[in-house]
Amino acid sequence: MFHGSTHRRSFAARCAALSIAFANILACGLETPPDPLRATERAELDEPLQPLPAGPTVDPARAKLGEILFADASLSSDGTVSCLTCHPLDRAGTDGLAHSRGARGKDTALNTPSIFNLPFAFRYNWSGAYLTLEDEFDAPVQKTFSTTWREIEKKVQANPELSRAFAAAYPDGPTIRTIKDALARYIETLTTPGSRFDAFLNGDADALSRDERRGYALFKELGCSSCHQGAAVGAGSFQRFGVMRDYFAERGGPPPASAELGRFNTTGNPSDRFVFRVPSLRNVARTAPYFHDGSAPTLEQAVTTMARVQLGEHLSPDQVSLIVGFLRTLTGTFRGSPL
Amino acid sequence: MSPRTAVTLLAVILALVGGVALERHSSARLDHEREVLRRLQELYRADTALDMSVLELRAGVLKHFDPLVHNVKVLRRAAVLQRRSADDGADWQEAEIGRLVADLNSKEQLVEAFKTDLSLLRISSLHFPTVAAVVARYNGENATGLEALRTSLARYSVAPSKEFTETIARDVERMQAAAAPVDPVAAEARRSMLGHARNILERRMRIDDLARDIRQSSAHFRILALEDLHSHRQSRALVVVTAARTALAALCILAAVALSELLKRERTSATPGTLPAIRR
Repeated sequence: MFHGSTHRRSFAARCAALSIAFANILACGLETPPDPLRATERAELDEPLQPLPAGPTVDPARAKLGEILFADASLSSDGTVSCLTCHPLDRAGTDGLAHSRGARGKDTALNTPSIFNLPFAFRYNWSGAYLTLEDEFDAPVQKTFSTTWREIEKKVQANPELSRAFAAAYPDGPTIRTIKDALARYIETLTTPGSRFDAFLNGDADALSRDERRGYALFKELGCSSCHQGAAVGAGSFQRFGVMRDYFAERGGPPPASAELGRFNTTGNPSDRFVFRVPSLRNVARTAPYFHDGSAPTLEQAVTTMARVQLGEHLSPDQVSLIVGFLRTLTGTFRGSPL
Repeated sequence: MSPRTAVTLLAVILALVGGVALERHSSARLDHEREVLRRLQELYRADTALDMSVLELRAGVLKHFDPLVHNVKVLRRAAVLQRRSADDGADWQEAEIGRLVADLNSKEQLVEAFKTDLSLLRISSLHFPTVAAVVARYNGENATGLEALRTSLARYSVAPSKEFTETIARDVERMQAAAAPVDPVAAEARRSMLGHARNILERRMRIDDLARDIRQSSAHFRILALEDLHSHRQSRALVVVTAARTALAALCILAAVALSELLKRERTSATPGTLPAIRR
């Protein structure tokens, strides 16, 4: 009896010890809660303009699908317009028109901005109404393609080749969400690094001529870089068009169209009238005509008007020439070739 | 196999299945809490970095908005993910995350206003002295008033106050009401100068208020509160997982021992000659 009881006790003790040991081994596998890292990343502090960084890493299969959709005119209501129509890549992502021609012959209300370097923008379209590229596509689909996402989804689903490719790239196959995603991933690949100005910022002082360097200095001295700053040389904030003078009154002609009210159309706030997203100046020498209304046919004219209405400055022809010279150095390369 | 043995075996299997299910469930809970906490920490980091960039911009040591743009995007993304990771049916959690998202949206509006105002303040601070010098060249009889405005604005830029704002605004209006210079260059310079003066008056104090509001945004405190809450929930989940794994380990050992005992008994009952020996 005594012997049996001892045996049971030692058995129970062994079980308990083994359990605890086993539990300890298991518990060791569990990480303790991570200590929150409070450090902040330090940014480059020296220059208001920054070199263009590499774009985001995207899934090549998805980006390829986006590229196919980008060039597909059959997605528009009358099969006449694709994204490439208004954003030809060999023309720096703009069509050179003051107002692009959409499906059914409808003109866009505002000038078409470039499709390049959008990953570096803080918001999208002229009024900055869209926070993501996926959301931004709603505007051209509705206004330029004169169609709906449902229609586009049906067309893609009806295309066996595209459907198969979508099924391979996305578990859900072609849906509105995946179609938008593919387009967004493709557009994220459209960046233009390798400008002479980037080389200059990266330490190659000879990448710019003396006059181009003077143009950059003047660009900063005049305060242009207060708004046109960062890697995208703009596209980072909102600003009223006509800070020092009434641009629309000086432009003359009919009163501003409703689309020209800018951010007001999104917020309804009277102080947001004529407030626009500051455009990026990357590749600006290749994206004429300028402004939201495409009213400035040359870079010289755009610089002169900007200085007058935004800064209250009347620039001399020499000053304009220096700034334009600097702006030309912002033209980058696309997939290894100059834009 | 005797019925008693079968029942024992069934009980052991059921207990093990139950133990495994409990361990799986509690592990999933722990993983979820870890993920929520990781995202909250990412939010906290982006929020802190955003505040830091605002202060650096205000101080003039940072000259571009890229860190703000980056961190606002991170905050937006993290807030969306946070919303998705709310427990199904946990209304309080959804409501809390909803409040956090609303706070972050408000903070983004403040950041946008800050960027816009800061750009304009910089432009006007750059241009006011230059155009004031042009005006001074043409300004004969009102040189004292102009000099007073230049001095006031220079002092105001360093130490702004509401009373000071009102005084300078009155000076600006008085200059505006005076007859315009005949010379078009002088008239244009005066127009620009007064525009820049108004810009500075309107924005100098507001920019500090905006920077302060951004720093004191409730988003920051809400993230911290959620982080504390989820740290606590993660610790609790960790205790439950440890307990579940300990119980499972104990069950495994007991099951192994019970099975070996059963097998021994089965073998003993199947060998007739050995029973008396055991009894002895």
